[in-house]
Amino acid sequence: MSLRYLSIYSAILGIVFVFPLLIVVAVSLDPGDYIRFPVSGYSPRWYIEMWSNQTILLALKNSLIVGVTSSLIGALVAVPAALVIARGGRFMESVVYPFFLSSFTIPWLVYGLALLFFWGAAGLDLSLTTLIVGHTVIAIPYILRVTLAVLRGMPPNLVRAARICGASPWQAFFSVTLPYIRSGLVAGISFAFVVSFTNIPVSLFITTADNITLPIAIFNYMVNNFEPMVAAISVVQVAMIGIILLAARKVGRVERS
Amino acid sequence: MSERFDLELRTVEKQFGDQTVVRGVSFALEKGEFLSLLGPSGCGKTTTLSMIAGFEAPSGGEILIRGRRIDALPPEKRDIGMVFQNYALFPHLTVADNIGFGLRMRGVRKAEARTEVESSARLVKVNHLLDRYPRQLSGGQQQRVALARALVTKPALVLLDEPFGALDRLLREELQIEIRSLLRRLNITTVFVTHDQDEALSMSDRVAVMFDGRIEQISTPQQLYLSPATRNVAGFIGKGTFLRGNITANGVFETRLGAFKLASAAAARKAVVGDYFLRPESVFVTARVGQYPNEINAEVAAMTFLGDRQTLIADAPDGTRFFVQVRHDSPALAIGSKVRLGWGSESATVYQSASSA
Amino acid sequence: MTRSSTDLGQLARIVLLLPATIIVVVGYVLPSLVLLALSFGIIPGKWLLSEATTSHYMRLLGDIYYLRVVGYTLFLGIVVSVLTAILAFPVGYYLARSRSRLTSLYAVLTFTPLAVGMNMVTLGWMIILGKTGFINALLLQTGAINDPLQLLYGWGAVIVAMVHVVFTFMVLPIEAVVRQIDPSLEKAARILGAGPIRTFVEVVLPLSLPGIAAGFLIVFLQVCGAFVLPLLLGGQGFTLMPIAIWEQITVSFDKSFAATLSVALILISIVVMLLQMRIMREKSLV
Repeated sequence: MSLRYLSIYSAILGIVFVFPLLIVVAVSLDPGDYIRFPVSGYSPRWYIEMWSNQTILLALKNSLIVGVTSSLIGALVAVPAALVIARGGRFMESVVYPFFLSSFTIPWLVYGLALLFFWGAAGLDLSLTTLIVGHTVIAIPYILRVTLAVLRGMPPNLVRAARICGASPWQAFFSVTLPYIRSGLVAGISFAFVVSFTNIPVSLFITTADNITLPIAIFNYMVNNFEPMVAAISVVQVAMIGIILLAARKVGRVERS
Repeated sequence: MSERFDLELRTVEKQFGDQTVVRGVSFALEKGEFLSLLGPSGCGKTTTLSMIAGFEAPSGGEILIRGRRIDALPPEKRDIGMVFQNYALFPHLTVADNIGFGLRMRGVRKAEARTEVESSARLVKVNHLLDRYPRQLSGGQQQRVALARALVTKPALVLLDEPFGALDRLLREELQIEIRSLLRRLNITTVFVTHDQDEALSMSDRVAVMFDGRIEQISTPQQLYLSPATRNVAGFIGKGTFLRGNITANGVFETRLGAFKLASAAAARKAVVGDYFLRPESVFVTARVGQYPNEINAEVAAMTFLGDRQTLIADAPDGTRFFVQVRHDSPALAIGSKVRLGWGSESATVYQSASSA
Repeated sequence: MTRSSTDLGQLARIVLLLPATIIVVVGYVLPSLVLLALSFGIIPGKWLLSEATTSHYMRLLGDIYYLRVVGYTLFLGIVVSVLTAILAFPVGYYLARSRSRLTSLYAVLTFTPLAVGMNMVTLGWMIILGKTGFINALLLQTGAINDPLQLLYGWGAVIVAMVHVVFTFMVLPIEAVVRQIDPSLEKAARILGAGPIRTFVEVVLPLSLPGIAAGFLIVFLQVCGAFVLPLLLGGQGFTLMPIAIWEQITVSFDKSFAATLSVALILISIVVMLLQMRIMREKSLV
């Protein structure tokens, strides 16, 4: 077949898709005061300046806290739920599972708005905690889906084998089920982290000067002052995502020798 | 309590919803006995095994291991070893850790566990593979590891759930012999679930044949073949021909093919409607009319040559198919040629139809 | 039904499901109800004082400006979905069928827009399409033009960048569905005398429809909910529903009407989803 042509086509598209990201990297090294092309030169100016920007530092710290906490809490509540849903049953399939996935279908900006109104009605001030709740809700479907997919592919006899070998239900979970789903779970958690770490629409209405996140800080820059520093921050953000994904890959790797 | 039995089932029942899958299953195994649960899929043999293992709770009846009721215990408290269909080896653990899993769960000290693992591994000849992962093993090796894992805790009972299904024929036969002799040497009581009659017949001390949730016959392999207790068993074990009909007042079995003579005991059951059953080795090709008490004409449909034996398949005028075991070196008969088949009165068994009872 | 003893008990099931349920109820169900209440003019916290009204919905349905916003949103959704499906199908087919090691590289490349965040992609296209951006610089330098072109702001820029962002959502389901099509079906069609194009139109395409439909749904929902990218690449006056909602909060300070627009957007999503489920049920061959 003409797989050859398809491969060339895919390669060209791949390059087109990576190109905007490379452009951002190039611009982030421009020492000038506004974004232009070709760049006026190369210097680490903005990479240095961003570290003395208090808003950026706070936003970065907040984003790491929110991303890590929400994805881990998401895993902590999604895995037990996945164990139950994986056992099947009509009710699980047609009610429980869609219920947990339902936050997938609401546009993020709308969800952020609902959270703004809700915390207002509940009389709670916006804080990192309120932000974490929102991000956990959107983390759950990602983690649940991946974990469930792995659990459904798991031979039911593995847990039975563990039990007949003398493992209690807890021991069977920690010594057999958890290792089995580990790589999928890690993938789900890291994806949920990336979603949180790059999320603008959900956070937009529920961040204040105190609980601002990195993507919101970047968004404010893009709307208000369009200077190469915004490119530098974005590159740092992507680099952090890259590091986290690589680390996750390492943690999630299944033994083989 | 009857502690002389390693495993005892007393009228065990299982219902799923309003469907009964296992009906009043009872048997008792003495130490070292090897029992097969044999039957077509859906007959309840796997559910029975699951109840012994503790994966399913019985809806009624009792299960005892060495005289102790265990049907309320979780699987990990039952002291059972099990080899699963497709082995269920833990993919993230090495062979050594797989075999030692049960010891670890029981809190056996590391050094001691290591010795046990090694001796178990030697028993099934996988001691050179201890550092490998399951995916690096062949099917036969996985099977051996699974057996070592089941034996390492010296359980009171070993369950084998269709363990040979995934292996090719030669390897399967080799492993059957080896595993059987190992279990016999260790004198371990075993329940073996299979749908393959050859496997069941060749390995077992006794075979329980199950249909529709019920054990229809439990006996030695020989008895099972030579005197099947029910029509189901007769049809499931080995080959044979069934002729539908009834026993008349003058003691013959009347069918569309004609009336056939019976052994005197069978002939006494007057007016019974049922099936007249013949094994291939009871039917002969005859050149001389009148050599056998019962004879019919048939037409050769096929001959199947299997090396050590040969079967002639011939159709009677009404389409009934007869299987006839012939010498393996006898010449092939032309398809479509006429043959005369005959058999003795004692070779036939009559199974009464359920409806006429 | 008697349960098997290695199964979870009713109590265990509830305990295991409880934490996730609490988070979803508190963090999602209740906020959505508050939003719904607000869209009918019921102010949370002052339930008794406020009176339910449909006036916000009447306003939405009666104002040609907002109807146009709804129209633009749907139009963009359809255009981007169709374009992405056409562009992504060959890639999905290639990833499913090729045994080349390069496929994992292509997979990573098409996955990048998801992993880098909307701000990075938006920024990239702003720089490429801007007045002092990459394309204008290239054209000016080669002398093809004398004055920079207005590439940024408007439909073109939004559609191009949007296709980029949602591409992965279309490739993945197409790849998954093509993987399930037995390659010997294509061989069979060829042996029976169909050329490559007929084989594609009569065998591969019909069997891929469930995957394309799945991708279509995700992409459409993504586009309808997109905010950052159309806001920054669309420019002044380019208003889609999420942007209109944002404006109600940040410019007009009309919470109730923002809630009404939000509910309308959710309704659109639900209708599209139901439509897709219906089509899938009728068309699904598997």
